[in-house]
Amino acid sequence: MTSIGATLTALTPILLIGLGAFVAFRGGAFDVGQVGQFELGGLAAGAIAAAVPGPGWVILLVSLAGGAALGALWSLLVSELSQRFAVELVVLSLIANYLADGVARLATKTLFQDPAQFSVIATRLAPARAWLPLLTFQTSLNAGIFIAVAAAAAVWWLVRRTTFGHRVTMFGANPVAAALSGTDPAGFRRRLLALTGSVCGLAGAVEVLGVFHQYQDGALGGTNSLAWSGLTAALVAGSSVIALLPASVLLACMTTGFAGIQLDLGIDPGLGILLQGLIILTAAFAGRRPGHDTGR
Amino acid sequence: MLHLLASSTIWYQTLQAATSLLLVTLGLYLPYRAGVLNLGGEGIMLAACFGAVLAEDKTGGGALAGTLAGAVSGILIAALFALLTVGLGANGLVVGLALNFATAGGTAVATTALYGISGAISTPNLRTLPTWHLPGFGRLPWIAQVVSGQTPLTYLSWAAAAAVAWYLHHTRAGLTIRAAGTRPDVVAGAGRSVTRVQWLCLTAGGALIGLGAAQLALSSVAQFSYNMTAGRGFVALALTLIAGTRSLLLVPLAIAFALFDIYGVNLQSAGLPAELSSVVPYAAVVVLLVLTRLLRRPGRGPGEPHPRASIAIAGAGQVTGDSLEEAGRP
Repeated sequence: MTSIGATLTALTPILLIGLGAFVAFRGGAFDVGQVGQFELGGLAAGAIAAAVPGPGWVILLVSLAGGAALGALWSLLVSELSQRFAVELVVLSLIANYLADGVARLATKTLFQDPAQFSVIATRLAPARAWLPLLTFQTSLNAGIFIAVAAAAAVWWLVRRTTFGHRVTMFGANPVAAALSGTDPAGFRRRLLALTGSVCGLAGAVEVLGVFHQYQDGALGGTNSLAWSGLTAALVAGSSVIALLPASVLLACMTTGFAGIQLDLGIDPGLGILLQGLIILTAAFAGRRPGHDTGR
Repeated sequence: MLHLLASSTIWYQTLQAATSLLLVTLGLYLPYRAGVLNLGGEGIMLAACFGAVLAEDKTGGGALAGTLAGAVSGILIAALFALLTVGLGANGLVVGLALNFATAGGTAVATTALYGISGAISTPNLRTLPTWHLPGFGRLPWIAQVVSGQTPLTYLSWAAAAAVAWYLHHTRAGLTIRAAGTRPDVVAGAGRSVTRVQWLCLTAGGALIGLGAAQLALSSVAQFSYNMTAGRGFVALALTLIAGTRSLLLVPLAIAFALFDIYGVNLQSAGLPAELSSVVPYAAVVVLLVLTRLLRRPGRGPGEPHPRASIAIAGAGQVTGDSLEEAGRP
């Protein structure tokens, strides 16, 4: 029961990030800036939740919205720079991850630092009434999992049933034909990456309000970040929303499984990252390119 | 704050860090000019750091063994990248990402398996690279402290930068490399193999990346630590994009970013928040990346056809193919 709870806790951000990355790839944008959006979303939620007064649900909603907004803003900024100055999005978004990490650390330390903590760079603890409710006692499994599942349903509906979803598919399959059909490519790219950035920012906010209850430097980002697992899930899932669910579950199992193996057998947790690399490698051979243009 | 800039220690450390960055950047620049965006540079560099430290510790061959092992590991991982992308046609961007994860995880697992501790390898067998004191520099006080007494790899990196620029722009083979990046169809039409050019550039680049990794792992402190490259491979890739077709720009760029790094670490003593050091270098990369694209000569970058070329050989065939897509442009 504990392990299922821990796996579902890890599944929440992995699925959300996976959804964000999935939509970006499907729309032809090879954006790998999910980690930065994730961290900044978490920072916004941590900073807002500690500062805003009012009843718990108000704080919760405002913080989640703030996280989504900052994630969208960051993604939009990177995408605009990439579009306007013709810089490869994949390179710019990778650098932007490091920049976002530094910006979040600097902002936390100088603006939002909890004065009671000296050894860690972290925001003040969010009031307990604003936390996402816990679902079990032994693990940090929280109501965020419902947000992730609802987002998965929403993305499925968006991609399969709406005009915007059709455009996403068209721009991914054939950007020239999509542009000729009358959609402004620059405007579409803006809407697409604002949407995917907001989903990844929301993932960070959910992680902060559900698990950490504060933004902690290094808790969301880095090589071990769950955002990378989400990106991996999206790469493996290819073109199917439905396939994203089992892919995310697999990666969540790997995350918690290797934490267990590390404790039991003394194998380095790097094994999980190594396997993640090998899984991505299979995606590179699956014949499905994540997006039609591979750079910008 | 500005007095730091006059300090010879800061500049000595800057050149030391710039060496590693310059070698890695050159190693990514060669395939970039041949039309391949090597996103695996970070992983190649990390694996080569590990290879260098492991070889030096296990063989007892000293810094020379470490340096050679770094170059060989670089070649091997770069050849793997070439095999998967150029050889077998897998998506280069995805393979690059995968390599970065596989090496970060793989070196961590190997560290624990071989040394029984996770995190860092630091043993008494590990010696730093020797330093060369240049003759005739003794009389120039500040310059001597900065330029002399660096590792041989520093002087090699400067020579390599000049050699790469000269080779690309003044030899037939260099022309073929540049053509493979801009007009692969022309290279193919001239009876040369684009694939072969890209293979050679990737593996030769791998050797340079490996040397850069050896400098990183063995220059100031000889050790391997988890994820010690910390994004330098990506910064190097951004530097190649910033330099574009201007090969010689790589030297001042590498030195400038090393300075940002070293200066950032020392900002704390000037009363500024230490966290600035994790913002400034990356912000500078983004700003320069954007600025240079603004000033770029149109139609001269790898992967984008020269404006006049399509007229000269009109009807020579559609410019498509993997090399263009790997260069990162539709």
